[in-house]
Amino acid sequence: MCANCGFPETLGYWSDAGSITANDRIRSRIIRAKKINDILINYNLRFSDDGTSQYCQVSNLLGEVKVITQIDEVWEAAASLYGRPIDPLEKNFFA
Amino acid sequence: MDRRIQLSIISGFLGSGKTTFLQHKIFKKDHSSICIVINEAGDISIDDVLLDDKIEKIKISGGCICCDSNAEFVEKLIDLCGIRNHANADFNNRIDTILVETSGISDPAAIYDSIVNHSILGRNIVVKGISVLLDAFDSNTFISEPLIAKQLACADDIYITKTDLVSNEVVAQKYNIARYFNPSALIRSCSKGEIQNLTEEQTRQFGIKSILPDAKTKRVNSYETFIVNLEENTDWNNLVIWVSALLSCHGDKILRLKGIINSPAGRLLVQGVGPNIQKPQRLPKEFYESKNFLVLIGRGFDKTDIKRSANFLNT
Repeated sequence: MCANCGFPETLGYWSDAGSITANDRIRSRIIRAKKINDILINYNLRFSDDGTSQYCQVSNLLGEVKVITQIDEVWEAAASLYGRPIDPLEKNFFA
Repeated sequence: MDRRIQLSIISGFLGSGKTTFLQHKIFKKDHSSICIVINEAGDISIDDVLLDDKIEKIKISGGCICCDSNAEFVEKLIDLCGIRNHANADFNNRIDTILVETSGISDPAAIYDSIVNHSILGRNIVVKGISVLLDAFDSNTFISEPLIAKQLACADDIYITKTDLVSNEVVAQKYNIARYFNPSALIRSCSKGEIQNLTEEQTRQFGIKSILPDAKTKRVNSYETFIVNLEENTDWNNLVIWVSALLSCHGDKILRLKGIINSPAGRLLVQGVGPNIQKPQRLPKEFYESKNFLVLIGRGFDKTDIKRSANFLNT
């Protein structure tokens, strides 16, 4: 696993299209991680991505952790920790 | 020899690959005698962006040409016939072929009828055939759509698309479904524009009763289009997050998603079919001036909810 380009998602995932260089990719990934964390806080969940490994974690306050590799999986993991689907159409999705 | 315009209707459900099919169909041909009619149910036409600029195009957006925009469609065809038949028209450079790319939710039989029964069009245009595309990659999410059955039933040619992405078994399943709805059409596969006959493995018999819609399916809501306006500086990451969350939760309701947005890698065209997003395509420089937007086609969602939620994209 290359520490420089730190593929956050498996190769060819659609969000990759937004970056050309490896730096862009990591930058996008870190920005996304912060935004996702800001959203999941509304559901008492945390999202952590160290930016280098391909594994990210979704965790709740009880210490349960789900490990994911793609952004799609974030929502699935968060839904299973939260108890119901995370719906962007609901008012509490973002402040 | 029939000197009427040869018209082909290319139909298929949302995301089945009609525009790609058309791109390959016109790729090697001489463009001077072809005209393409592109119909988008939503208010903004995106598909014409992907087709060669030098070809003559008629764009009809804001309604399906089988119903709402039928009058506009007929009118534009009459105009085309008028130009073609004009005394001063150049005989060698006139339009002889029309390819109609319908919107994913249209009924090709209605389009056929409106041409053939028309007093002027019927004498100037002959409908060469109706081609319907069936998406092999879609995991039967849409098979329960009654519209798909309607489209398949009236087809002369059926092309199973995206066969490079699935196993032969899945192709055989789709073949059986197509054959069930249409006992006589020629069914072939079309992957990235290359048309091939189906192999024996791909035409194996398969039980399909479990996939077919129940006779007692509830009455479904009609499709709705919703346009999300994006600012010039909308963040690509916001879009990735919002779209992935939306499709993860509402992928069954959002049938189709199309958008143009800026990203660090340039202007991208993002397209999704049901819960999946396809590989975004980079747009050529000519489209840098146009606005950013996102179009959603689906049913059963609340427009005010989407409008409010879409504010996230512009934060």
